Amino acid sequence: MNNAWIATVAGMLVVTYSVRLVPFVIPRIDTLPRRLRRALSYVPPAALGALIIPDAMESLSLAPAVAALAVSALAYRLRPGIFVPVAAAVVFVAGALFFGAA
Amino acid sequence: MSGGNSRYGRLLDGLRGAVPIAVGYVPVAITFGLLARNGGLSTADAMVASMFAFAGAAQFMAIGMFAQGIAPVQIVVATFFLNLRHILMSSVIVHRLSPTRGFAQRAALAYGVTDETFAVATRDENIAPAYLHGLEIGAWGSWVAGTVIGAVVGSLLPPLVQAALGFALYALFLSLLLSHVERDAWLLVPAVAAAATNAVLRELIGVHAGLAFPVAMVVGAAAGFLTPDRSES
Repeated sequence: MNNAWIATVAGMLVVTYSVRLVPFVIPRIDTLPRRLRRALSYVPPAALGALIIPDAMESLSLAPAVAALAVSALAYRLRPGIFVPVAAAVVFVAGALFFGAA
Repeated sequence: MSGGNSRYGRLLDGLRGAVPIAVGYVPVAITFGLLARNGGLSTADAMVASMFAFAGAAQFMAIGMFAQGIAPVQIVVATFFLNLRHILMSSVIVHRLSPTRGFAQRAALAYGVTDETFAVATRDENIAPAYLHGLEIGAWGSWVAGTVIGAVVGSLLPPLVQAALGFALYALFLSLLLSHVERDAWLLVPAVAAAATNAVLRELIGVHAGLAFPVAMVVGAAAGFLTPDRSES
């Protein structure tokens, strides 16, 4: 096992579990200031945006990465969820790699 | 189909409710196991992360940051911000939860609160603790099992397929983002603001990913305040 990784996971356990546990200990946490609650509702989409860009473009070259994301978004339109859009992107990228386009 | 009113029956109902969650989790967990191995971690490392962090998107973020040599403390801080949303989910669940059998049970129930268990559990106005246990055990078990399958089987796949699966991570993030945007199109504003900030910091200014990511998240959340306030609806 990788010690630095285990330390990372231990830290993730502490912060993630604390956040999940606090409302079970202090049930009045829903009286959190309204502005803070509003800010928290923007965190997941913000995080996801920053997780995709620019890293997706670095994993392949720019054009195939943009095309793969477009394929995935189109698949989501046809079949919302996780599985189909992910599978569509993987098949597209495998094809692009196979034909030497990525 | 219902398992009846006994606690055992409710536990079974919960496990049944976890089936659609597992269908979504297993392929993603397989991808996580595979990416962890691609990033130089062992099967045990991947399994430990899924067992103890049990934090889908944050685990993917963590292996990405870890592979880039970002310090554990920075990964933990980013995880904290990314998972802070669970405080809201837990508080909604607590208010709908039928009386529990003491603190130990509530502490156990808190462990399994994820975006997906929250989404399924809150379809009911009153949540039975035994039902929630079943839901969480099913979700957690499928997440850990999928991780191990991915780590073990993934390394046997042809290199071309492994390389293509590396992109699955971004398609996953995009699908999760689209599910937010589908619910509320204005959420595209924080997403685009954070993505643009991250791209400018990393590509143009050359800021380290461990610093650029939290800054981008804060800028994105701040940009959300430019959109109409719908938090009361």
